[in-house]
Amino acid sequence: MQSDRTNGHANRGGVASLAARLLRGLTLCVLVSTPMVTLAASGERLVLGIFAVRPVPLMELRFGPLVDYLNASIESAEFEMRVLDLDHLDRAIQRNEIDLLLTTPTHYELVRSENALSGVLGTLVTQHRGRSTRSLGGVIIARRDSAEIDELADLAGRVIAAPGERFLGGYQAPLFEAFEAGIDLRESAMFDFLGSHDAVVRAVLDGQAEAGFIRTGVLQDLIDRGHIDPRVLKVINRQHLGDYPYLVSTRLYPEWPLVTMPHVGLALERQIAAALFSLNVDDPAAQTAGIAGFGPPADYLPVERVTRELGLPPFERANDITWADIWAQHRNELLILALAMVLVGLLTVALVFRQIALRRSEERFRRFFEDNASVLLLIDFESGEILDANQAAAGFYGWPREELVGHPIDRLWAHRCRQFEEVCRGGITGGHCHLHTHRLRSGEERRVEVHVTPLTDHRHRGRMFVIVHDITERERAEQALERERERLGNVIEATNVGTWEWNIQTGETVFNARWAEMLGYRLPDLEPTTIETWKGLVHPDDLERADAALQACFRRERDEFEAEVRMQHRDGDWVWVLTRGRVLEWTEADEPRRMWGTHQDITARKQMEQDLQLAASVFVHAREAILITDLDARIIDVNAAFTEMTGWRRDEVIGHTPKFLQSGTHDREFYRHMRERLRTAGYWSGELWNRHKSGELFAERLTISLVHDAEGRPRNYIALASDITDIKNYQRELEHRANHDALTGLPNRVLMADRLRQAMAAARRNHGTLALAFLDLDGFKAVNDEHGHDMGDKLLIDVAKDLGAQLRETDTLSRISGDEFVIILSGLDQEADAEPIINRLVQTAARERRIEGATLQVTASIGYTFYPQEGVLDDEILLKQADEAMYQAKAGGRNRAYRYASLPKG
Amino acid sequence: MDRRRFLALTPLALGVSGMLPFLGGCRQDDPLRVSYHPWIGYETLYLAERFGWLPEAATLTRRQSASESLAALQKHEADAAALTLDEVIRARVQGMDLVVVMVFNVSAGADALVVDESIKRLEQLEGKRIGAEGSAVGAMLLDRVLDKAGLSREQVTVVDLPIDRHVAAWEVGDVEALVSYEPTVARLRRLGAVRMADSRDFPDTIFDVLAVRRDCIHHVEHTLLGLIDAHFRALEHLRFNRQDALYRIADVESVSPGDVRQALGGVLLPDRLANQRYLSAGSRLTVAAAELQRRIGTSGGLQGDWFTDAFLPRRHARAI
Repeated sequence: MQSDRTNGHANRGGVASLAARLLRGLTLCVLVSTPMVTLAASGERLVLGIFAVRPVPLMELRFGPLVDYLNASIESAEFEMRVLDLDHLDRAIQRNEIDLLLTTPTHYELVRSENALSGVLGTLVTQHRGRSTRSLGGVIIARRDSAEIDELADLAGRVIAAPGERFLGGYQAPLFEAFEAGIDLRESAMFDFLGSHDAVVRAVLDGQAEAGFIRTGVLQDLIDRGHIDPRVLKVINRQHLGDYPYLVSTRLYPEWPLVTMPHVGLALERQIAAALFSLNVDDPAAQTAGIAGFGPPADYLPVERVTRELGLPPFERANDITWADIWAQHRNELLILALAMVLVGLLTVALVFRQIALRRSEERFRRFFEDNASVLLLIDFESGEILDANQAAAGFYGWPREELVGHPIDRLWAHRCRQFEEVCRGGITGGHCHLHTHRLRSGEERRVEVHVTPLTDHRHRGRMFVIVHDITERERAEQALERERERLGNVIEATNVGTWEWNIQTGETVFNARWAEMLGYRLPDLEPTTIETWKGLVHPDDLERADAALQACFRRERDEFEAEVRMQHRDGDWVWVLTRGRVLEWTEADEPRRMWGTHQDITARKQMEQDLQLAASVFVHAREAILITDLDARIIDVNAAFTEMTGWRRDEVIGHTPKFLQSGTHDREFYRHMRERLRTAGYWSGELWNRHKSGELFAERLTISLVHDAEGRPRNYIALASDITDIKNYQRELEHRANHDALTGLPNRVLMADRLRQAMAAARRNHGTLALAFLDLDGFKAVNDEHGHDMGDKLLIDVAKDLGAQLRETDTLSRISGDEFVIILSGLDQEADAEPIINRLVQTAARERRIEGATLQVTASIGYTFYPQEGVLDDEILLKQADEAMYQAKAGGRNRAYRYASLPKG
Repeated sequence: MDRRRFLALTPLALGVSGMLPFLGGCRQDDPLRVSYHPWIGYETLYLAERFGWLPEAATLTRRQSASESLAALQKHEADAAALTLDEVIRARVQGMDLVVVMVFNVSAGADALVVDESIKRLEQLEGKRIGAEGSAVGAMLLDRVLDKAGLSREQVTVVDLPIDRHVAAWEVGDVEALVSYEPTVARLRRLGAVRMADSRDFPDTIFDVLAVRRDCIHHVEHTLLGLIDAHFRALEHLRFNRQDALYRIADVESVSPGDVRQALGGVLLPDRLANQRYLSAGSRLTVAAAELQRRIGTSGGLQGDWFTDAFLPRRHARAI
């Protein structure tokens, strides 16, 4: 797997060193026979190869004195110095031209890998300003003005100058430092290998590279020699190493080794070592070289480790070879091992799968157990303890799960559980179920249905799996249902309804006892009951109506069936029944299947309804006006006859008192008396005048009654009125006729006499005077005779009219017969006041009159007297006096008036 | 063993994977605060820090003295500390539950009695002022020296001096002898002090260990493993790249690399296997602990599991 180059290189090196070893071996064989001193003194020529880490002339200048020192110190050999770059040095080594080698540790690693017998004789000790060290390190430099580069991480992506890959301080040490920090600069940066440290410093200063790798000491050397300005460059990742004389960016490694090739003899090696170790720091050789001398060989393991870790030669790709070698050497063992591993792998996979399956199964059960909404318990019936309980159980019982586990099961019981004991005794083996009462943490007791499954597999023997269902609510519901049923029964019982249930498809019906009892039967009397039983009892006139209502239900036109029908009682009477029902079950074909309903005896109600209807009809149709008020006399209702009588519509009067009807005819006393009577006697009856809406008065005969309710409390007034206006008017006319003269309309003798008595009474009371005049027309008989009675009557009417016109309001003119009139002048202050009136009467009567084309003239003779007068108390006497005076007037020549004189005139 | 573990672990790993949060796995990245102070045996921690080998969750605090480290542990400002075995036992006696998880070094000359050059023989210590840290190690060393000299404590004046004041006390002549340790001893010697006795005279008695508070030990398992691994890596560096390590330690301790080299000569740095031996029942560590306990004069402090090898790296140290 090695590259051709490396392989070829290795082979060439191998061949070269083999040849050299053979040659040396031969030489040694020859020399062994001669004394060692001879060898040492033979003037052997040794070549000291020095790696040209700096420019060759500089190196030669520096190490020249060291070679001189060696030549001076060791007489038996002659030392020669060759300063070569690495490639030339390698070639020289391959040609075995080098005996001593002073080179960088990384290069030493390479040399050693190619020639394992080479050994380190000593390690260089350098010094700087009085401080010596055996360690070197890498220095990472950058221009001080490059702000972007300050730490290791900044090196990624940069152009880095380095002297070469085989340099430790100039390449591998800084590379490793970054590598340890997680940055492989070989991948992330671009390296520019310039062959020497000085070139690197130049490149960085010139800006050809952004950073540079050099070894310790170079920088200070260049500064000391004034080649560069110390302020221009900066050191990246500077390490703090106290006394260490140089600026350094990496950890330290042993300084350059002085390597002796195997062909240098042991004695010579010892001499060289002695010389080197005794080199004093003050020696010009040391001074010129800038070293403090040589120390014992250091351990170069750290260098090897760096190279190894970085995978650089000689340790590149070592693994590839190793695996190939292993395969070649241990093919069979590896195959067997692989087979065994595959087998183990397969078995493991199988085991894993079984475990997974088992776990899944257990997981399923666990999840079933955990997530179940039912209360699940696992109980050890030996100890009576709960071994496990799910979350639902914790929620139900109120204990946290951890408390529930280990809890004795009997603490959950409200009382001992016989079934549990049975299970424990082994009396019950399979799963079974029982009811029990459990007590919760809160003390509340719950009815539960317990499903117990004793577990029989050997792993769980002695345990039972228990499912607990809380049936408290279910039991309560059942009890509630039972109570509901009982309540319904009671309601049916209490309301005294009959019930029926009808299977419409089969006609079968079920009645309760009350159904039959309503009709006077006992239920067994009617059995077997079908719908025909019902039909047979219903009044034929009602059956059709009931059937129509049923059909409407069946067609779903109506939700409820309801009908009032008469049914025949056992004793022949008809009982009114309200039958109601509903179809509650339908067939798939949407036909009614079953119907439930009730019967209710409504005979009494029906009777009442009829009575009410009658009363209503009376109210509506009565000829009398009916008015109903409340106790405050506010009208509640009136009938049509009322409206007809009063002119007021129902809606106009409701809520008003009947005052609006008052005509003003009756005084307060009248109404007070009415109310008083109503209050005391509960009724009032009488006649009164009221006012029609139109303003006309009308008379009515009215009866008001106070009505009481069922409890006897006064409730309403009911007034019944009939119009008696016509009767009243007729009565009036009759009265008028009795007191008035039919021809003239003047009061007749009866009325006159009445008024006279009244006037006399008034005069007596008032101490006033009245005059009574008796008028008789003169010549009336002649008119009658000449012009007929009609003309006579007309004349009388005309004269009466004229006479009346001459009288005062308070006076009365009356005709008492034929042509005789009596005049009462009442309210006179003195007798003299009467005479002008009487005289005007005489003159008026004598006026010429034209009646129907004829000119008629009569005169009047008037006799008059006054009241009071001595001894006269009687109206008859007064009239007689006036009559006598009238005759005297007649006798005196007619057409005149005479006052009655008590003493007869002469 | 491995096969059995593998077979046993397979289903376990599958089944238990869901339980990982309960095993503290989620807290493995709790910060681990480690306190130490300048002592040649502890500088591996410094090296590991410089090279970036410490686990991310570990933070290192360099304090002035062991007393400060103990105080930090007490105040829960530190979770682990580098201490001498006697300091651990004292802390445990005082109720701090510390567990020894690693041995940094066994003193073999790094703890020393230095005296004024006028004192030539041990007997001359009589009546002198002797400075010493109030630690059991200091006291033990002093006791043994006095034993050897045939003196009692009453015949000398013991001045309690913390390590950071040794040089100053010496310079002003406050004491004529000092029980001290490297690298202070080296500095004292440069000031003219003469080494008269050291821990080489009492092999396998003075241990420096890494102790962790038990209350957080399970939260920092992985970090602790990483820390101890880093220590062993630094130890390798010290072994194989001695020069580099010397320079670095010299730098942080402000002494010369030569002093460091000399100090290193005074301690034995046990590798992983040696640690394994020390951290097992009946080891010389436990014997020394019992002796220390006796000197402290208490019976408490060593009950329970006060040490464990659980955090030592199982694999072999990093191959070179």
